[in-house]
Amino acid sequence: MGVRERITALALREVHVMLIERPGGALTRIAAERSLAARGWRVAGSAADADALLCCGEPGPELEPLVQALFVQLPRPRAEGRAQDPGEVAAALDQIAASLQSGDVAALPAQYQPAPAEHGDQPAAPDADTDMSDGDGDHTETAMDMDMGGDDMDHSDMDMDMGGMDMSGPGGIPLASGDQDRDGLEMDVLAVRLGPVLPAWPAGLVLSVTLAGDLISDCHADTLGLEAEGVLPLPVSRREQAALVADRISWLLLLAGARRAERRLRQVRDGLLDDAEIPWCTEQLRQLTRQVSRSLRWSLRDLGRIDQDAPQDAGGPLDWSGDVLDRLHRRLAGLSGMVAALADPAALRDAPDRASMTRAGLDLVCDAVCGLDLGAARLVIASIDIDLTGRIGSHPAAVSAGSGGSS
Amino acid sequence: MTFPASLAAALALAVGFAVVAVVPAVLGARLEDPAPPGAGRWRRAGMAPWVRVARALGQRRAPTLAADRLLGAAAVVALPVVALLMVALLPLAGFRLADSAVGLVWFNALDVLVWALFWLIGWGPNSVYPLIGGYRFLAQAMSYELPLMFAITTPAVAAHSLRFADIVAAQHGLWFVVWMPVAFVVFCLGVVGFSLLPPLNHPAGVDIAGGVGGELTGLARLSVSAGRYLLLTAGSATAATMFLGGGAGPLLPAAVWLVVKTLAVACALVAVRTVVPTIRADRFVEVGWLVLIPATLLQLLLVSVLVGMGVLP
Repeated sequence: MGVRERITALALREVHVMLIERPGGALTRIAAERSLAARGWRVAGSAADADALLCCGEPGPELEPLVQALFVQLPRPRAEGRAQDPGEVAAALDQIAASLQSGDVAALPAQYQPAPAEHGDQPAAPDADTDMSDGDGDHTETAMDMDMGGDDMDHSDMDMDMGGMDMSGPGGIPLASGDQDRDGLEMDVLAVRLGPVLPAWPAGLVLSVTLAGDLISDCHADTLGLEAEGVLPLPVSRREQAALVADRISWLLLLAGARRAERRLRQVRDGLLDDAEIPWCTEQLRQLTRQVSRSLRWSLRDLGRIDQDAPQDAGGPLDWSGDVLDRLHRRLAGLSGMVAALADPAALRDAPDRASMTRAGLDLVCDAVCGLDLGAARLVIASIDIDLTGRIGSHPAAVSAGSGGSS
Repeated sequence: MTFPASLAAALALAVGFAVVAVVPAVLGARLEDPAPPGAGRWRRAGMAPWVRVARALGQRRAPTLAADRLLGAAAVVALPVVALLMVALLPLAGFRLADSAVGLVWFNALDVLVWALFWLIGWGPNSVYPLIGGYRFLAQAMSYELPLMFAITTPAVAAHSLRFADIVAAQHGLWFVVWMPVAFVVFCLGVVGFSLLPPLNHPAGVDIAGGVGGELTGLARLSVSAGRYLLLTAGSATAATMFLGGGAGPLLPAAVWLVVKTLAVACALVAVRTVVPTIRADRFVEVGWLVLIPATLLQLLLVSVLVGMGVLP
C-alpha cells in the first residue's frame, strides 16, 4: 500500500456529503443522514466542504442544472450519487466511496460530460445557469443596481457612470452597488439567492433576497422542483408524517445551535421511523419541551414576531402568531399530539391536515424576514413550518407561478 | 542560548504544543459526532484529527472566482502561527523560549491580531457567506475584547507586573482564580470567542453554510480548523498561567502540571457547547457591553482595593 492509498483510505473514514433534497425526498434525505452518521461520515455544510453530492429524490428538470453546477464547485476528488428512495441510499453511498477510492479525479459522471459550466478547477462563470443554481449562495455576487432612481447619486462616485448592470468587476462579476439600509447607512447591496440547497432549509424553497450588509432589505419567494414529472410518492404512514414534522422542527434547533435538544429530537424522529415505543417518544418530547424553554428562551424570545391575525389573512393553514419561541412551542405541542394519537387506534380515522403552503403564506414569510439580519432570518424561516410537498400533484403552478414579492 | 539551540527549543515547543492541542480536538470531534450511542464514537473521535489531515492532503484546492488569494492565504497560514507565538512567552516550568517584561501585552497584541485574521479569512474568497461571517466575528470580537483586556489587567495589578513569571510567582500560596473568579470566567469566554468555539461560533454558523471558513478547501481548511484548536490551547495555557498557578502543584513536575491544567481548561471550554446554545453576535454585543464590562471593572476595582489595603501581596 503506497502513501497515496493510505491517505485515501484514511480520508474515506470521514467523507463529507452534501445532500440535495428534491421536494418529496425528505424521507430519503433522512435515511441518508442516518446512514452517514452510522458510517462516521458527515453532512457537508457547503460545496467547498463536500467530497460528494447525494441527490435525494429524482432531481427533475428544474433541479438538474443546479445539481450539475454545484457538483463542479466541489473540490476534487469528488463523487456523486443518486437515491430515489430510502432503500437506495446505502448503495449510493457505497458507490460514492468506491468512486472516491478509485481516485479517478478527472472523470465526471456521465450526465455531466456535456455540462458547459465546467472550467477545470475554476468555478463556473456566473452565467444564467450557475447564477440560478448556486444553492448556498457562494458565488452569486450578482449586484443589483439600486440607483436607477438616481436619488443617491451623491453618495458614491462609483454609481456615477453606470446606468444598468456593470459587468466590469473582478472576474466579470458586477460590483456591488450601494444603497441605504434600514438605518439610512450607505451599504453595499447584493442580490443573493437563499436555497434551494442550504443546510436546514425547506426543500424547494428559493428566496431571492437583497442584502444590505447582512440585512435583508428585500425578499421574493419562489419554489423550485415542484413540477409534476418524477414526483415521489408522498409519505403515507402516520409515523412517517410525525417523523417529518419532527425533522422540520429539528432544523430550528440546529440553527439555534441547541445541540442536545436537536440530537434528542432527531432520536425521536428516528425512533418514529423505527417503530420505537410511543411512550418513549412522548417522554422524550416532554423533556425536550422543558429543555427548550430553559435554554432557548433568551436567544429566541421576541424574534420574528408575527401579528395574531396575519396568518389567517394570508390563508396560512397554521397559527403563526407570536415570536419564534412561541411557534417552536406550538409545533412541539402539535408533534406531541400527533405522537400521542399514534398510540390511539380510535384516532386512526384520517391523517391530520398537511400543512399546505400558499403564495400568500410565502409572501408572509418574506414580510417577516425583511429588515432582519441573515442569522435571525434563518431562525424565523425555520420557525415556520414550510412544507412545499403539499403542493405536489395538486396545484404545482399555484406557488411557482406566483408573481410579485413583498415589501 | 545559541541560535541552533533556540531554534531546536522553538521547534520542540511547537511540536509539544500541537500534541497537547490534539486532546481538545478529539473531544470536539466526539461531541460533534451525530451517530447514536454505541457506534464507536470515541474510537472514531480519536482518529478524527488524523483523518482530517489525510482528507486535507488528498484534496485539491477549489478556489472561488476572483478571490483575494494573497490576503486570504496569508491569514489562513498566520492563524496557527499566532497561536504558537502566544505560548512563546509563557514560563514553561523553568524552560522559557523568550522572556519579556511585557508578556501580557504580547498576548493581548496577538489576540487582537486574530481579529484581522478571521476577517481576512472571510474576505479572501470573495463570497457572501464568509464575508458575513467575517463581519459577525468583528461584532463578536468588539464584545469580548474589552472585557478580556480588563480581565488580563486584573492579575497584572495583583502581581505588580506584566511579566508572566512574576504573575505565577505572585500566586504562591493562593491561585488568582480564588481572588478574581469573574476575571477568570471572562478570560475563558474571550478564549472561546477568539477560537470560534461554540457557543461563540456564530461567525462560523451553520446558517451561513460554515461562515467565515465555509469556502476553504484542502490544506487551507485544515490550517484554520487546526489554528482554532491551537488558539484554544494557547488561551487555556495562558489562563492556567495567569489564574491557576502555572506549573505549581505537588509531586508531579511543573511541566506536567501546566499541561494538566491547560487541558482541563481547554476540555471544559470545548464541553460548554453541550450546555449553552449558540449565542448570536447581536445578542452577545448586549452581554459584552452591558454585563461583562461592568463585571470585570468591578472585579478590577475589588482586586485593586485589596492590593491597596495590603490584603493581597
